[in-house]
Amino acid sequence: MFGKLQNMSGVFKALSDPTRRRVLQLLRERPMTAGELAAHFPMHKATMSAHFAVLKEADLIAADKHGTSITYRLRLSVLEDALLAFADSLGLGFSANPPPAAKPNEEEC
Amino acid sequence: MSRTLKLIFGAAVIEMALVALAVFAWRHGALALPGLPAPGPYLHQYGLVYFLPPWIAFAAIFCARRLASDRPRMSDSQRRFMEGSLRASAAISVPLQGLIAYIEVTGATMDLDLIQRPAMVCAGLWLAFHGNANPKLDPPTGERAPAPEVWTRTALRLGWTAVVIGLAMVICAVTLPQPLLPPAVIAGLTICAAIIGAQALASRRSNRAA
Repeated sequence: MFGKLQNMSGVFKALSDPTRRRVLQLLRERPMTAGELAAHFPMHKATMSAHFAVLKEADLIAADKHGTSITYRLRLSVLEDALLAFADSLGLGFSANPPPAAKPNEEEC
Repeated sequence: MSRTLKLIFGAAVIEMALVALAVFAWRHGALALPGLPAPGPYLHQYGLVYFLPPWIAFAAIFCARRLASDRPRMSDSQRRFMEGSLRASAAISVPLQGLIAYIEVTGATMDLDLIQRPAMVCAGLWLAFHGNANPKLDPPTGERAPAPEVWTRTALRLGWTAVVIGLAMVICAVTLPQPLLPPAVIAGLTICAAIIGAQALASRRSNRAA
């Protein structure tokens, strides 16, 4: 039970940031590599890696490793999809602080 | 399908079939049960006693074929989810059939509303739970597997349908008067089956075209 509450807390944290919500919308079109996703945002690769890590920890995306590149695909339940739409409609997090930079051993873009 | 699950299902289907046969035989005078009253009027709710065994058997056969098929190959998470659902459905169906059979045979004056409404709530929650969880499973792979993004979008669309219909069934179970309950269940399940069938047909056609 506590694990599920922690997981929901991670989901809310993940959906609170507009960049992460945009990543989820892009992944709805098709699975993408980290580089393809990063190309849509004017951010440092380390910052994007941190966003991917938050989404992966919340179990909203899955990472499939192919050689040296990693492809991300969407993993949303209906409830999480509803929360995503709700957060988008309210415009949550547009004044939020950027996440901390990723650690050096994060996957390459 | 694992051997344990096959044994569980086999035992459940055999037990339920024997119960249905015994009740049928009793109602038509072929089986005497001492100490019990004569058969009373047949109520349509008693039909569950005869409906559940072939329904569970059909579900088991369908899922066993799907689990064994490699075209496309189900993911591990899909397999675990399906097997867990099958176990739960057997665990619910056996006592439910037993309860209805008991009511029919003993002539117990039980308010069937107390069975219909909770059953409808359970069915609605079941539908909503499956609809919510299915898009989160890993997509199938191999021959005839849809592209992952197609699978995800389809699963989300069907998931939303199942969640909305499931929650509607729960609301209807709580608010509708008794005579409208069976039509509401039939309507909800028919709409859901039609949408899922149409989607499955569309997916097969797009896979063949690809």
